[in-house]
Amino acid sequence: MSDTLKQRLEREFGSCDVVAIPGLGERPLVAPSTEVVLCEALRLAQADRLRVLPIGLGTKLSWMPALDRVDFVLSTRELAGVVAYEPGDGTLTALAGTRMSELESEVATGRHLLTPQVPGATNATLGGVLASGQSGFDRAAVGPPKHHILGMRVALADGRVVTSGGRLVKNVTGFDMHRLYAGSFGSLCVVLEASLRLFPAPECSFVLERECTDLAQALELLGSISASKLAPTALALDVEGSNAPRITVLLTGRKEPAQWLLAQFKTLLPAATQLETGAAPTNLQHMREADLRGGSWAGLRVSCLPSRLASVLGVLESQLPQLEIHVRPAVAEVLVRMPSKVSAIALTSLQQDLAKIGARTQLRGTAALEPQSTTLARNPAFGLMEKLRSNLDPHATFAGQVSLLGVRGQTVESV
Amino acid sequence: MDAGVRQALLSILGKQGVVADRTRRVAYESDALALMRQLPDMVLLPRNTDETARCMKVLHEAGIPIVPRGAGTGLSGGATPVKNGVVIGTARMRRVLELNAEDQYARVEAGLVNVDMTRACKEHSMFYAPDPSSQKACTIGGNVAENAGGPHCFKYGSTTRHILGLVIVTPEGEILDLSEPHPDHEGYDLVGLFVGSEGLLGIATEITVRLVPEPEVVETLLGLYHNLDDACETVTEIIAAHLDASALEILDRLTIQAVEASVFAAGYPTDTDAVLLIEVEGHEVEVQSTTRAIEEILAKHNAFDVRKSRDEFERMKLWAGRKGAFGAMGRIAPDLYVADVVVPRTRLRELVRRTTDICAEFDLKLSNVFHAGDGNLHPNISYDRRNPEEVERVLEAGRRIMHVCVEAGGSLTGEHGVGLEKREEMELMFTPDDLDVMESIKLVWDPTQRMNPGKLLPQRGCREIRTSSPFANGEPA
Repeated sequence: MSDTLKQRLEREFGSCDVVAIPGLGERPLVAPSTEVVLCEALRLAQADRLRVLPIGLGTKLSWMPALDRVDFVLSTRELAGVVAYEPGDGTLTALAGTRMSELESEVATGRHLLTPQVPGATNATLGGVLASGQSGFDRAAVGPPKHHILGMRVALADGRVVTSGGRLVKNVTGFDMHRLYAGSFGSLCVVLEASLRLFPAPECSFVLERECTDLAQALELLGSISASKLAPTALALDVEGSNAPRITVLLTGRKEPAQWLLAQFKTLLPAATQLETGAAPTNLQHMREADLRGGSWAGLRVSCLPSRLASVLGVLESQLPQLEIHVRPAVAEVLVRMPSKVSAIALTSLQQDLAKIGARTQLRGTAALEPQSTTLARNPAFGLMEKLRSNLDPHATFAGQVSLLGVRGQTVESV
Repeated sequence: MDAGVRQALLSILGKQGVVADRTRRVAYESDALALMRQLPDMVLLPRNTDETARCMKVLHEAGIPIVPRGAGTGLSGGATPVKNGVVIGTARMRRVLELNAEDQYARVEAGLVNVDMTRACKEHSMFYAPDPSSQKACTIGGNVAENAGGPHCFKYGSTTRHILGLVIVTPEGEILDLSEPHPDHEGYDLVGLFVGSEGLLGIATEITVRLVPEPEVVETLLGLYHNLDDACETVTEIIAAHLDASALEILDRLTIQAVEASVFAAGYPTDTDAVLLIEVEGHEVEVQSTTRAIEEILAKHNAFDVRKSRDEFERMKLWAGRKGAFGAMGRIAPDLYVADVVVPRTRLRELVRRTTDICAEFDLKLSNVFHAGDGNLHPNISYDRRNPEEVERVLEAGRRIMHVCVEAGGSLTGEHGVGLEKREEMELMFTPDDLDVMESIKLVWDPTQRMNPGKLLPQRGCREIRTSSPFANGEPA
């Protein structure tokens, strides 16, 4: 790390921490307490041709492929607070550095839920979640978070602060720039503030768990749930090595309909165990933390069309010696816990086999293992994306520009 | 138009695909915002993506401006032609290319009429959720351009939530295939950016839409009120109570009377000041529970009667009245100006009143029919465009309504788009920097600025530049 740069940043912006960037080592971290200072930091970076990596609390740093250069890290963690919570309108506006758990507590006072319901909400910031495009277990019920971002205020690489959208649940005025910013991993801008649509908190909830003899039985039961056209709030399948595969169902809503749904699911999943009744927050938490259960681990996120899910599970079962997966069947998403000593060749082979059946993969926490070859360059839209990026950040101030692939993590296309 | 260009376009599309004679071109001189008109030099009607791309290449090389057009039902002048420009219509691109019930999506051509999408997937017990009032005429491509809404967007969201992929022809005539029906985008969300871009970035020729399973039960209620305020308050409380309705629509007395006197007569009592049309859907137990709770709120806010549709025929009739309301206004005056503002849902009653006061101040005939659940107001002003003085008052009232709503934390448009009508008001909502970014994005997609010029983005800068207009005479006719 360059002491000179750290010292200079400290002189300009006060105290300066350091943070470890996968593949690059430690870098100075600036966490401005005002937007003015944050914009000054960006202007300094642009003027001196420094490369900046915007983060919240840095919980998703390992989701990005190895970056070739970062001069300093710019965190929004000190820019925190609720700007406006409108219970009657069902909307929330907050600063990017606010922890998701704080926002959840705030909106709970008006019996609202925030989306996405991400795991580790006490360490995840609003800006980080939106910039990474992260979904939560509630995706099956409410869709991806990008659908519920009503507007954003962001800082561009040159330090200008710009807005798109607004704070209303319906609004088509101007280009939806926030759709471009969401999921761009800080390669286009630093998110300063966002407005979100909220959802009603359920009156009550129930969790059912059903252990299955094997994966085949689990898939059969999931098939019967799908055929019933009953929509649980969340549905998951966990396979953890030699343990029996387990189906978990979360049912929420107004009291009477939720109880009715519970009765239906008890029929669909005979011998299921009901975990708890009525304690909605506990039940939601149970589902939400599923992909963090067992601690933080290197993983592969696989997503596909629902019709391909069984094939995806087949590939995973055949290629991984000990299958450890968390499956969200309703959104055809699989989180795979990777063996600690998987070779890059084996990983590439797995990704390619999944790609052949139309699945997309994203590595999380496996930067050291990432294959060097990338395939997003074959995406026909790559050229346009690169032009958009260089238009918003002509001097390549943001670190995510090295490879556009970095904005979504390692991705392998169908061949 | 240059003879060589004309010949090149004819050779791509044949005579059927080129509208050149003046009498036929007149049909394309405006969209549903008839106040703004401009005769196009030519109208092109390609049959597929390839023909569209080849035409766009020819027009690119000739430097000719392009205005995309679906069915021309837009209400903001987004499809109004420009001087020396060509209209590219999608009317001959109406096929359903793929319907995948298992994965709940369909791939269609841009000119497919909205309601035909739902018809096409009916046999699989699915539907396409965005349902603009013009759904019997408007196209999926037009819906994408405007990020169209509709009554059921209260539950299901606007068009953008239902678009999984697009095939886009760029202004240079390149084909950008983003049609994969995958829920996660690769790289930046170009599809999300394109939806609602009002034809400024390119033409979507093929669209991958998300389909939704039909609900098991649908309950439609009609609350009758002696005053509009009570209907608005009912909606505010239903939202605050977190009751999961799928649509909340209000029609006022003048609208009810126009509807009932028209072919869209739905059986709304003409002696009421307002009706609130509510729909609840889901499983039977869920619907019954929600309906009971809603009925309590209706009673609390002085609904003097609540009617429920007894069967599908009656339900469709109630909706035909709502969706035919704009058409029915023709009985009040020859022309209709439909405003499209959004307000915070907690201030519905107050801002409906303000719009009423503004129209009274300008001595204009106002009727209200609106998506109350989303706070999306449609103050409708009936007028006669042959009366220039009245037209002036209508436009001024429209501007005042936009100003009042934006000042109250609202927005210029909820579903009709900015188009020509509201482009100068963009500066009410956005700073010069905000607009600079939008303009720069437009330049990336359309470096020669030929795609739907003069729409959405305000003419800024010095006075000399401001006078530059896409219209032959400097201003809309």
